[in-house]
Amino acid sequence: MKRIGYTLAILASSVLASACTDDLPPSDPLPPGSTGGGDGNTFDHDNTGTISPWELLDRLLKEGPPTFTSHMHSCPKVKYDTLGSILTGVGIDAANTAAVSAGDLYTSGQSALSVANYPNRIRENVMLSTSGVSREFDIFAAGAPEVLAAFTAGTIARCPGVKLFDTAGACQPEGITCLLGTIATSQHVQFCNLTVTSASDVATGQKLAVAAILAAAYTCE
Amino acid sequence: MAKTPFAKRDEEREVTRRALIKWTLAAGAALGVSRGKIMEILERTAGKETAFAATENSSCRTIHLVGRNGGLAWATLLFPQVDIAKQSKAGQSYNRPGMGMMAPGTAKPLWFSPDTPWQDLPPSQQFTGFVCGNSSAHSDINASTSILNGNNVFSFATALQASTPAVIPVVAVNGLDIGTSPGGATATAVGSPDQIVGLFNSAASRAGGLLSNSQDATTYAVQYAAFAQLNRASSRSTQKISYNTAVGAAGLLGVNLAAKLAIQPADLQRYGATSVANNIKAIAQGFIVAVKAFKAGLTNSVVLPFMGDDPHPAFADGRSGTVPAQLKMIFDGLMADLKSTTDEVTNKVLADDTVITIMGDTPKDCTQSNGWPDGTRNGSGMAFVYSAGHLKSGWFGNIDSNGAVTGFDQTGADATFNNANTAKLALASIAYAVAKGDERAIAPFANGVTISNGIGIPKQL
Repeated sequence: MKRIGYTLAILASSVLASACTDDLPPSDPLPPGSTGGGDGNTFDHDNTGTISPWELLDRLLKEGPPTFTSHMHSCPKVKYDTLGSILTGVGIDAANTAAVSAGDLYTSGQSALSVANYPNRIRENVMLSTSGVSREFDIFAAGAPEVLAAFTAGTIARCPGVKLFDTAGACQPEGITCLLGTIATSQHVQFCNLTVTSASDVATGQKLAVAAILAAAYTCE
Repeated sequence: MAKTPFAKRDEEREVTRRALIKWTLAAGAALGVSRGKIMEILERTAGKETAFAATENSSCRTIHLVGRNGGLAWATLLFPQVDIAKQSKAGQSYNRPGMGMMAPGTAKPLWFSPDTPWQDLPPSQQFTGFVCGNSSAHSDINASTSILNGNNVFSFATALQASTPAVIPVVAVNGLDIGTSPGGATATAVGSPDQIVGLFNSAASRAGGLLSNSQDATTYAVQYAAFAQLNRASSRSTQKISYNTAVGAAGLLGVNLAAKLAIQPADLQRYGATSVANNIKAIAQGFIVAVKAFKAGLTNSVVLPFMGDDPHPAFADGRSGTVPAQLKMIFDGLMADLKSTTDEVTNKVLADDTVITIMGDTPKDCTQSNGWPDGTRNGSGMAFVYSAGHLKSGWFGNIDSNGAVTGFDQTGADATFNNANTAKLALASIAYAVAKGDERAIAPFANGVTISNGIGIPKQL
């Protein structure tokens, strides 16, 4: 009985509320000084149409899936674990314990790279900080010789057999593509060659090119 | 004691404000809006106080001084026991008998000896002293005044600082052990304070590193910027700020920070540390590097040895007349530096964001200067804290000129001295100061101890 009473009361108040709403005077024209909007003075959203699946498909093909496009709206830092995967993918030993090796800088850089601190319930930082990016770039710089060695040996995990430099020392687009993860343009090749020739010597220039390409490719996740 | 409705409301409001700041920062990061812009938005929409709270570091940086091998005793001459200094009885270990005065305006009694540093600070910023725990003569780690519920004070300070990114979270000098705690950082060890300077150089900029040559460093920075601008999204307003940070970092990678952090003769001059004993000079060097590193956000905590010279004969050989004055100059130099330096990240004055602690094995017997014995009254220890205004100033607990020891309770009131309870309160108070009065943040370590009821200054909402 009690439940029925409550239900009836709710129903009655709903009817009364809708009746009250129906009794409201028309909102247009608005009284002078009103800050509310009406049909005549606000943007008229077109709610009549429906999304065409073909248009949506076309947009997805052009812009990529939402998981990708959402990244285009921000530049979050590369997550610690992701960075480890990247290092392994380009031929750097992320578990190397030798002093100031890329692996050593990676494992000792958890604080600078703002990893999650679970005991204190602090999540991994998502924003780029100077200390975090500096450490990441430092890791790429330290790991450049390992990357070059992996290219030379053809053992680079993500693109075995690909070369970054030809026998004359010129940058190869497929090698740059391997580092970038996207297709290299002629400008990439041009900047790569410029890096090699601008350095104090060719060997250093090649390492600088690797470090700079990786840093630019993985500034954001 | 039940919370008043106002206290409950304020607590709820603080949680709501924290949530607002948290979600605004997260949304801003996701949208690529700079931290500065987020503060502007917060200031417009939620008010200045909320924007101010969002720009602040949630914790203070720390300088810990560890008085091993009796070194802590020197701190009792800088911050003497009030009654002992006031009575100035012959044979007691106060080095300026008949001199000094009561500090005006502090929450608890405090005596200004001629050797007491920081006398020009306002009363609320004066140091806080605790007669607490046990003395533990000639031990490297005094567990009583450094371990709270199984967690080391130096370690849990780094856990509280974890939300502030730093290149190296904590540096420990000359073999000091910072112990462990849940979420605590691992210390980077160096042999002496001047070696701290080399820690912050990137591996690439060090001798033999890829960017050790300035030509290569410049090439790297320029080519990074060139490659980065080939990323189609890098010029979008939502990503531009992150890329600006990255371009700055690429430039910084080739900079040898040793020159920026190096201890210059002018620094030692400013600290009055040009003609002092090596153990005093080392403290000054540690302070100088710490301030420079804090300024650049390179580290959050520095743990330094304090004296360590077991000064039993200090009153007989005259050092009690010279060393405290030298220490005062160095401590005053530190405070002057902290007051005149702003954090490059938060733009806040470092003096408002730094906690300084002095702890160690034994403060020695303050009622006997002859041989300055290691044994203390009731076996009591001491801790000295500059809390940046987060704790009430003055002495909690005391030793009077008759040798009677008084303790304190959670409300800050005098109580029968209990070594364990006072140590727990003192260490929780240090955590409270580091966490800027955030009781919730220290709860995992304090384990039920409340500081804002009497020892700490309640957090301003």
